[in-house]
Amino acid sequence: MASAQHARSVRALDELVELAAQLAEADERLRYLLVKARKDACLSQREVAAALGIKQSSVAVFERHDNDPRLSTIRRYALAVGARVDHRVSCDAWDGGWTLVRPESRIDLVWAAQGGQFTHAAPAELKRTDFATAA
Amino acid sequence: MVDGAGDSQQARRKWHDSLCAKPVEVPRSFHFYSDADSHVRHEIVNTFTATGKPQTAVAGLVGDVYGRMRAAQRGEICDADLLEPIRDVPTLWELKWKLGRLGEYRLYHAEPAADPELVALRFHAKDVSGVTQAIIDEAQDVEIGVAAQRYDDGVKNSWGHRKGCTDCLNP
Repeated sequence: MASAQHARSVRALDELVELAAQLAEADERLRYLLVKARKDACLSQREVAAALGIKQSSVAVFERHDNDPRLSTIRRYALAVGARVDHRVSCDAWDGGWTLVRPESRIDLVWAAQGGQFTHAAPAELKRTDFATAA
Repeated sequence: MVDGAGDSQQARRKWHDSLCAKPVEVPRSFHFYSDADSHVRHEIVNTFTATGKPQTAVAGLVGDVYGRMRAAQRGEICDADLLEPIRDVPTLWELKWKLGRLGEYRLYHAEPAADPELVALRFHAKDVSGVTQAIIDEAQDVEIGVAAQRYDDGVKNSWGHRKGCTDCLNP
């Protein structure tokens, strides 16, 4: 883990963003494909709700993109629509040379609105518990 | 968009008329508008840098935006709460984010459908500090106006898009 921590500390913002984008993209696609699985199975939200013993409105809430469901909720929904969800965790982003990461063109330059000049983003201390701060 | 914002030019189109809701196997191009004074890619980064959060957290937030933009590139936005028509002249759309306590964010874009297929014109944190809904709407209309102006300014040169463009989002 120490090597991973070191690797992250020297990564530019654009590389972090690319990995973050891939993680977010995977979540977006998970939701899209689960809802698509329900529709492909010709199941209504009401039928899924009935199968799980919950309200139709709960299914509707789950299907909203901005919902942030629990893993158990995803499991139940997948079960009801007959979908398999495969999880895969690969650490090559940190340990293996970032072969899976396709950085955007560099974005560690920011536009200073007041001064009207491009400057390097202020260095920030990296922490391991930041993921929860956005929510 | 909040209820009432942009009513004067409220489109009759529906969210599902957008290219962002029409699935394709090959993701559409999504270009970031830029000119001498502004760059939408930097607007996104700067908006979250301004939160004062650490770099990794900022990267996560920018990633949230790019992740949804990539879903839009594939035409996989299927939620009226995330996608809305906002203006007819020029034809503009908005993508939306709710990021917990940080609040709501908006990206206004146009859909030229070719070279580029999608163009991001303005990103901002939604200002909900107004005392009344009308004031909040007015603030958002100003931002939509920025997007419309950029559309008009950039239409002649395809908003800076070119072959092998480096100012497009990676699909």
